[in-house]
Amino acid sequence: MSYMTVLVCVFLSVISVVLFLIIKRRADAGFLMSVCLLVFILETITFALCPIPSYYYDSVQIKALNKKNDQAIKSEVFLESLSVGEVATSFPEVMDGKWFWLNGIYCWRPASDSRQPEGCTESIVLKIPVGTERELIFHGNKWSGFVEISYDKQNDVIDLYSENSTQIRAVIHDSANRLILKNELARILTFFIIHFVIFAGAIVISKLYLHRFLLLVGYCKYEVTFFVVSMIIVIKYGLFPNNLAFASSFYVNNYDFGFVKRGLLGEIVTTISPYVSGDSLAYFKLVFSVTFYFLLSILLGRLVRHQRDEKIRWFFVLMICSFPSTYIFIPDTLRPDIYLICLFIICTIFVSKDILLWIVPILFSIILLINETSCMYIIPPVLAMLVYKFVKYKEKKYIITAVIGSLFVVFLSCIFLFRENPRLHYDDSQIVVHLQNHAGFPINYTAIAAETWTISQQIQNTATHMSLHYRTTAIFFLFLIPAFLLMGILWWTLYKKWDLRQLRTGLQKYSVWLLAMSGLPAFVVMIISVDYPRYCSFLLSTLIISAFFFIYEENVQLQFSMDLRIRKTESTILNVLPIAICIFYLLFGMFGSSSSGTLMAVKMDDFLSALLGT
Amino acid sequence: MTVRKIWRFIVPSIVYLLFFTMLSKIYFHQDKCSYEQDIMEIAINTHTIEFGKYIYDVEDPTIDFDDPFHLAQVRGWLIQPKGEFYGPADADLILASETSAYKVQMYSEKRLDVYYMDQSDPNSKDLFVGFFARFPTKQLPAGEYKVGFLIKENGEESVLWSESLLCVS
Repeated sequence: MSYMTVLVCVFLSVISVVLFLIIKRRADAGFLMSVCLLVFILETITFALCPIPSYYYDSVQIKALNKKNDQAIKSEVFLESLSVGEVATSFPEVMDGKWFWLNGIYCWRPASDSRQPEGCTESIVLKIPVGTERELIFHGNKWSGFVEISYDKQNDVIDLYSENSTQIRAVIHDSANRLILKNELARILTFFIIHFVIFAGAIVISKLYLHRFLLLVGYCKYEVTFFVVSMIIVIKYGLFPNNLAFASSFYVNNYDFGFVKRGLLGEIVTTISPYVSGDSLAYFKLVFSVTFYFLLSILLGRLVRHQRDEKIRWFFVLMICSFPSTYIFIPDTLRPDIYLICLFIICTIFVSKDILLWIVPILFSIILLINETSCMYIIPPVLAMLVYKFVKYKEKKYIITAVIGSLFVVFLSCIFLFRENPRLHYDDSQIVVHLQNHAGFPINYTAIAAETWTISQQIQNTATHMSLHYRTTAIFFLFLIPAFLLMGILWWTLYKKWDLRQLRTGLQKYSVWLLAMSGLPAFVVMIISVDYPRYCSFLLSTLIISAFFFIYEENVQLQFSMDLRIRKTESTILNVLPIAICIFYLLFGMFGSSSSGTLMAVKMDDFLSALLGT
Repeated sequence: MTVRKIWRFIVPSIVYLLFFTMLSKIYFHQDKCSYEQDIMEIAINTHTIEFGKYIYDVEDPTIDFDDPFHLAQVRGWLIQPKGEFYGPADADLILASETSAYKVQMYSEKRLDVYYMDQSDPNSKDLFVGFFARFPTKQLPAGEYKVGFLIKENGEESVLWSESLLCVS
């Protein structure tokens, strides 16, 4: 039984006992839950920092015999790793002797070989954990010779020659039963001592500090909830330390071949360093996502506190946490979309707070240079916000900002639409070869080549994709209906609540409707692109952010009732339907970048295929 | 006009000016490889290091002709003695033909195949003794370039030449 299995069993038992006590009202639920949470955190840290080791070790001697069979070219020995119980473990400690490391493999070469470093010995002694089913994994190839493994007065000679490069597993005889028993007893004893200490510590800490802790958490509970959920998503769905080739290609897609679409991010990155290593990019993405969700949690906390009703505050937190659009960047390893949303939030703050309005047109241009399609889903909501504020306050600065911003957008869009793409002077493969030289990670051919496609080529690609994935796409759009239903309910309730208070002019009403509808041009982009979930996510994000902008501007106070009936007189009160929709998305997971990358839609499609026999 | 009003006018003007400069720069940006910032023409007047003080290997410099900028790559490793052991050296790459010389910035990389290094800890930072440099050769004058290292030692620069050559055609 592995340590992890025991850990899971202990954890489940504790949860069962705690739930039993809570149901039977024998204990304080808050206290028990805090103890459990603390135990869980401490267990995780303990497991990560000090996994229970083996207490006894065997000494195993490995001797390179400097002999080979007739077919082998040389008599080299390559030792890859050790496995115990079919689980690969860390490379064992070398107690005596010395070989050398070559690309992560511990090697021996004959002394006559000039490549052999000084001080190497023929035999080495390894410290192998006591146990059964232990295997040394060698790398066998044409250059490999004989090796002798000695343990407990037993010597096994193994020929490591292999025509093709392959792994050769050499079994180490089982340790003495007495030793195995002693080792397991020591491990179990240590396990119980560690858990006893953790439980005792958790109870003492909870007794002493629970009250203060709850006060602290209670003060920023919305922020903490959102940030914790975000971090769980980052850990579960993030691919760190790996990069997704498609998403990461945009980080090196620069202006080396001239002024092209979506080149700004790559230009900034490659100007800082022309060579971008995979590790640095992965670390940057991790740090950026944590910072992004941390700042977002602070922003969310500040926004929800404008609502007086506690239930409404929690509803907003639940909505943001459950909506698939919130975390679409994570499994995609931070495609540049996240920077568009960041810039959109910054623009919203500037317009809402009435600060640095003159910089908004520049931000429009930057948004457009990161992704030119943003003129359909990021720019219109900001323009709608400016129009709304102009109608409300009758101040010229808003409309001037909107006009200048629009001019910038039209200017850049015309360049992208009517100017010949400079990359057309090269083959796509040449461009990919060059951009690959900037990256220490694999970049995706299609991600780069698609930038030179004309609109007709894009439509052709969409048609091909649709014919292949029409059912998944249809399921995805069905899957999307509840989200739009929720957005409809939210905006309708906001509008009704706002409209109730005083007599509004027609222009004011139109400006609010313009704000509510401003993200909808995102559907236009979907004509030429197959990334429906991405654009739907943008649309949902802009609807949510615009709603927050409106709530903040008008100080609209929403109400909540646990009622399923929809009555006209109560159209200003949210009922349980929005909560149900949030839970629906919480259960069915998040979007992928394309409909065929959305797990739920793919599974439904598989299910339908099995059902229909297609 | 008060100082504050002038200030409110000047700052946006400067920002917009910078923005338009940047925009026009990227608009007229044509066929310029980002790696060009890593290569710089220099005059070599430093002394040559005696052979054997540093240990190195330069692995066949290549030029990628599939790349539109004919990007060259020089890869290898360079170590220097640090007491009983060896460690990474602080250096740039030097290319010199009969007529011109260039300094190229190098990027470090981990090497697990350098025999002189203690490789018992594969995560050791000392194993970053490898290097690689990339630079466009399309604009370089044709010729045979000697490959060497511009080594910084106690604030002084000196050159260590390898036997490797890079042929730019």
